[in-house]
Amino acid sequence: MTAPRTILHADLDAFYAAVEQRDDPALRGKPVIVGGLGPRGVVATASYEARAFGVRSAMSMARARKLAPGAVYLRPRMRDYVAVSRQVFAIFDGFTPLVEGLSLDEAFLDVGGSRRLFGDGETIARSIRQAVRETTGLGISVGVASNKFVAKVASDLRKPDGLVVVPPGEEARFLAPLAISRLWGAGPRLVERLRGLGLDRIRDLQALAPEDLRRILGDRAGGHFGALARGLDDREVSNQRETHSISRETTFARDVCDQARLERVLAELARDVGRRLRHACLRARCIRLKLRLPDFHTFSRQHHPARAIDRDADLIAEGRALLHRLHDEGMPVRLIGLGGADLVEAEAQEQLELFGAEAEARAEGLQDALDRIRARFGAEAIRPLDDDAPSS
Amino acid sequence: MKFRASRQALLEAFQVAGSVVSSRAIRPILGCVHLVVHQDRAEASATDLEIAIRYRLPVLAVVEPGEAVVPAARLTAILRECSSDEVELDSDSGGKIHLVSGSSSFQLLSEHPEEFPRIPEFPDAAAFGLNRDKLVSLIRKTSFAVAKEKSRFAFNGAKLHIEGNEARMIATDGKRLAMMVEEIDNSDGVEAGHIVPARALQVFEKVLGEEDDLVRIALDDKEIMLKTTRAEISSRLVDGSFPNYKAVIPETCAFTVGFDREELIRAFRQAALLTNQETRSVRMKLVDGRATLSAQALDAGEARIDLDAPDHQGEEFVIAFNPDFIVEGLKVVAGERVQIGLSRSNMPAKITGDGSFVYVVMPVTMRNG
Repeated sequence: MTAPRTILHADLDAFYAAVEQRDDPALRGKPVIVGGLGPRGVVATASYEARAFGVRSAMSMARARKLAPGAVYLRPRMRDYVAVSRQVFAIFDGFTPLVEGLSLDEAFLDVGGSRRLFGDGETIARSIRQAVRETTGLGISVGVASNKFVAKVASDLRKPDGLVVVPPGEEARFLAPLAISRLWGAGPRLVERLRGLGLDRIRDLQALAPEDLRRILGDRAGGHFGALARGLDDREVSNQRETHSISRETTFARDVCDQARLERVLAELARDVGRRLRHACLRARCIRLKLRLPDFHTFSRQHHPARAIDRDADLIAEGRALLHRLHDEGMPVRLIGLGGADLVEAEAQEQLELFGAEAEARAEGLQDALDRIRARFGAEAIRPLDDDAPSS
Repeated sequence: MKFRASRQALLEAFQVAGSVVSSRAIRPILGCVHLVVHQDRAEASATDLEIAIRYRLPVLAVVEPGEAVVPAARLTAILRECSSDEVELDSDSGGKIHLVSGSSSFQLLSEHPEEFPRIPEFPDAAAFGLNRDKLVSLIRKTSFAVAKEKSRFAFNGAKLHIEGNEARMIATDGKRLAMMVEEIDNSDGVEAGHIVPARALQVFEKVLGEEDDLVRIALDDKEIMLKTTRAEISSRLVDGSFPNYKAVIPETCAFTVGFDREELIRAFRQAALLTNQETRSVRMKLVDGRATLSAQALDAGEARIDLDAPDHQGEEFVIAFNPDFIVEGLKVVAGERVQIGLSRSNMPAKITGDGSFVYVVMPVTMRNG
């Protein structure tokens, strides 16, 4: 058997709201809610004072205003948050090269190789928390465990400003009293189903024989949740900092039913995604469309084109095909998003095609020309006629 | 129905018929083989509704004529695992099949023979003859270049073109193209231009290694049918228009370099060891009578192989290829020496040897910008 790993999950507490409270002393101790302030805005972060009113991230702003009418509502200042995030990740990098950022405010660290230099997991966690506090003035919660899943549960357990260490071998005992919804991937439907069977806590799953759990949930899910319930998770901390997807989405001020209009918006999103892909010298092997309905039901569909793409025209065509699969004329849409995932470097060699090589070269030339014109005169300066949906 | 047969011969028949059976059959009966036993002969049929085969079954003794529909995969597995020389197959009135092999016996559930799809009769009147060796050569030298993944319909088959005293087969996946031409005795004056699915070509190849000198072929707008002594196969043709292959075969090249075929295969194989899936390419540099193949994989290392290329005395020329494409083509080209015609590093290379085989490969380039 290999020696147990030492994994940290570090998560800044109420990140956006905390930056606001740090920068404006008048906000300290008050409920602060950061997010979109338009009629369709969504809460990005709520300070702990606001959470006491029941406000949560991803909640609609309208609902938040009902729950916490006296709170301070702010638009996010992404640029500042990104700068703070960089400082925090620089601290992580000082302790180990194996840092897997999950978002601006959250990361996994594998510190197994750093113990000789910086001490055991708990010592490193304390050092990180102290360094983050000194450098940025922000609180960060850290969980220490032998794997990612348990570390993440641990960091979340005593938020804000918590430190929870789960020694190797103690994973199952640590998880036993917690709710099944803590398990990675356990959604409300699964939790409901298991509750119907009298299974409520992780210990209830631990008590089941693995084959019984597989019988209840199916082979895959049963195996997955059975392992997690016992505190087993062998996912590696991956330090690949490459962008894994580039996407853009927009929430409508009023629901849109008209497919032609959706196609036009989609073309805008596709051009933006395309520009960012080409700027980063990346191509997408997978194109994903996301639609959210007025009742917040969110659907997405993806497609893998025959080859990785980065041209506007290709992205628009892919997006449109997905839209036609997902959307029926007249269906109201609240949010539409398009993204490229499974990204590969565009500089990689390219296998040339025997047929249609000329058309390919022309399309490439057209995109280059469009990019040059847009770089000089702005994104709205030029657009091929056939880019947009047929106007209706 | 009851008969005895050699286990090995029966296994072979089931393997051939079973190659047509669809593994993920929509209807269970399509995963079966239909056995029909007459007093003097027996046959096994299978179809996935795209391709159908009727295969002569070698039996040792017919006890009782009749028919039965048996699950192909399971029966093949049983025949493979058994060890006796002879087996006996017997169907009872309750729809069960009994198989006895030495001291082992098996009882299998079967499907109803009436529900088995009808397999078309070979239209002898409309057929023409083709030399077996030539057909095998057409298939072997081209079918490997058919698109592996589902792409454009026409890329999932090879085009069979018959005109005058020439039969040619062309296959491409859009990145490379293989063409073989054979002279045939076309006294019937057949003209044809059809796209045959890659799977049908594989089945053809399986049944062609046999006693016939001549195979019979019949073609109409929708189907190609092939008849040998042992087998009759019919396959739907691929619907779609084959790309204009003539336009992409370079008529002339800027220069042509000769290589020892075996040596070139080895060199590309060696270089390929240091490529990876993302950058599956080998660079070929030609300068002053030498060719240098090189490859590098960021996560593994580099390879460099030097070869004689006496024909190239001009200035330096660099081109890169997917090594798999090159090796696959070199494996089927005839002759000890091969010629590679080149023009520019973003233009197709043309590989030829002895005989009429032509292979065209598009290179790999670095994307500019």
